[in-house]
Amino acid sequence: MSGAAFVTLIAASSGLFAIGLFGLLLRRTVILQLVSLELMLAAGGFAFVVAGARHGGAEGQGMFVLVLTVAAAEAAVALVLFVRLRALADSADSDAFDRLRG
Amino acid sequence: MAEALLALIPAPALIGFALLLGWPAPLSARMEGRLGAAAAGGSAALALGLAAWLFATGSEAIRVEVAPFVVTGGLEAMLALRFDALSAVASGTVGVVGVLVVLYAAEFMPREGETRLRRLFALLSLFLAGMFAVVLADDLVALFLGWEIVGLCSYFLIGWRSREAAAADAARQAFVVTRIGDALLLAGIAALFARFGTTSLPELFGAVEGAWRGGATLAAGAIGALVLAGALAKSAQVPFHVWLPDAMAGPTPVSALLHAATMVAAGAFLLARLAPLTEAAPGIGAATAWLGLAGALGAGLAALAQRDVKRLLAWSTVSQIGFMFLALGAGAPGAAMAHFVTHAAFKAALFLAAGLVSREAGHERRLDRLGGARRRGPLGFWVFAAAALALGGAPWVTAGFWSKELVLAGALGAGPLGPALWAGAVAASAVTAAYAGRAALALARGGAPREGATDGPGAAEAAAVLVLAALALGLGPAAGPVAEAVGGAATPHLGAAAAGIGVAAPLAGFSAALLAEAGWAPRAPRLAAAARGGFGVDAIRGAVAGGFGRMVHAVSGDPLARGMHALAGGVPRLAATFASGAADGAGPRAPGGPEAWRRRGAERLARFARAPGDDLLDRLWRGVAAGAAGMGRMAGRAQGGRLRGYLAGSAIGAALLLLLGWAAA
Repeated sequence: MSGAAFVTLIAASSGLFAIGLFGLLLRRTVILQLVSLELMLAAGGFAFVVAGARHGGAEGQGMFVLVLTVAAAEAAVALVLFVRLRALADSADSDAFDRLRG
Repeated sequence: MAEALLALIPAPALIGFALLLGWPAPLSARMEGRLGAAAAGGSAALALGLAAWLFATGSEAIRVEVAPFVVTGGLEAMLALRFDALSAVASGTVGVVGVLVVLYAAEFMPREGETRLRRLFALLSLFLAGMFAVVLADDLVALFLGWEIVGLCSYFLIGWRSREAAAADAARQAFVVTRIGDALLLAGIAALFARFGTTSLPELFGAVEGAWRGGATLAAGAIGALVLAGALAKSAQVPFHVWLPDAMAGPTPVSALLHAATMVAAGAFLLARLAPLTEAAPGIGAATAWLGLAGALGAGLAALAQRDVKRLLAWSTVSQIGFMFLALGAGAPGAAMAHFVTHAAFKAALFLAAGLVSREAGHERRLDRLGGARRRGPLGFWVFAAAALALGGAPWVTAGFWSKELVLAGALGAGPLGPALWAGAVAASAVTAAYAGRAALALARGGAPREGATDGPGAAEAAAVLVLAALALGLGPAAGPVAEAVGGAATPHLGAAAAGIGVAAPLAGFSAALLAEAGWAPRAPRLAAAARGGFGVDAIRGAVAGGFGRMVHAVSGDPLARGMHALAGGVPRLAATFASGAADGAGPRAPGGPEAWRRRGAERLARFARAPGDDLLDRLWRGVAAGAAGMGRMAGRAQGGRLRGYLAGSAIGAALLLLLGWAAA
């Protein structure tokens, strides 16, 4: 992989990450925030694969498989939490859960 | 052989910790104490034996790589230990003070009616292991590991009386403040690694020598500043001095070990260890020296105004470590380490003796209630007095004098601003003698022994304080060789005039304390007024206790505004306390004469200072206070409880860190 292609792909992954981050910051619905979170994880995985390809190694892809697994577990936990929060506050707005303010 | 022993030094303390924590059966209180003392004693014996071997054979440093600690791609951090003159001095000191304090605690704590001692001794053992890791480490990652263990144990130990709100608050405050420093130090270590690709100290020093000696760079200064900030926070130096006086909520042996002799000195040790690095970084030496001087002088003045014996000792610790930082910044790590050793001895002696004195007075800690200590418990009193002499630096007969002379000599030799540093240090040394004398004299004051208060010291307590007192007095001749062994820039020989002033400063301080205590009124009224005010010290003390003490509160947000208000109202209050202090201190005394003169003067000053007014300056001043309160509210709003707000904060922080890393690399 040429240097230019590498930089482009890493930039694309950074962009994807930034989109996810902004989604997480600006969306207030918990579900859409979760979607944004998945986007950020995918961006990280993408960067791993690109870096692995750059060095011709398989570690990057191996790492992505790990990220995928963790993401699946995380989604399961997050959805359970969402259901519980829904019951608690009767709202899907993450800003409604602000009882820990100082 | 030596290498094997070196690797074993922290082992007894760690084993002690593991046993105390994990032994499946309950242990008797005596057994717990013995186990803790054995753990500390094993490590101390190894450290002392190895130090004796090192100095006897005159060998250079030895290094041992115990195990690879972190090995990933570029980073290969070894759990490497190093034993040279610096580690020998520091680990010997830590070991001796550690074992004496644990012995003392084993007897002292049960008599205080404390329970849960198993946890206390386990934490003390872990603390000692961490401290040994700090002083022996030859790799920044290993050093940071010990540094964090020490910080964590300190949190648990300050808050050991966890049912008391004050103790829990003090622990949290200490944790947060030192954590700020830890984070900065970690950033410094990371930046060093990013730049030189290694965390091993010898390699790092070699690389720094090559890269920084030629021309100072911005990155060098930034890294030096990060390391310095870490050291300042751990050592409770200006501007991180906030946490130490409150940390006295911990039990007395804990205060003696952690917050006098060893843990707070870790920052000074770090700077001594990284001296090649901080000396090469531009401006860091000067910053260290001036911040050290600010601490030495400011905290000394604050100590002068304390009413609680433990708080007085805590402020004096800030002040004495300020002396160490002053020497370090002046390029004399040898002098700093000499003061490290003598300070550990006399400060531990002071704390432990204060524990005895306070128990004999029925758990009283207020200085003005501790009078008559000499008759109630002569041992505690005399040890306290001897250690206070050493703290004040009584010329020739105490260890504190010799190490302070070295610090003064180092300050004088610190380039063009040396004389200014020296003059400040001389003033701080006079202040030190004044408050040390004041504390000892307050204990000596008359006062009938309390009924039934014959709670004399036990064998282990007596042995521990006596050994420490002997060290506080007798270590003097060792100060010079220690400084020489640790090295640094050659200390210039003091001229006769400078040496004379160095001797005169503590004497002046002690006499000021004596005069103030005796209420001695010579015929010349101006001299009398000056003497009773501790030669002007009393007058400054209010301003400083007002300013410095409130600065302490100010750092934590909301109290900022209150602190500002209090500062603004400080002058009248100072005058009022001055007047009432005169009334209390004088007791029933015939009206007229200098006493009444002084009271009248103070009352007049109070009236003058209370005079109402709302001119431009007042409004400006209140505006500052109101602005500070507003800032506090704004800071409070940051904790909004909303996930997205926190997330935005951490995203911005991460972005800034990336920028910083990019700039440093």
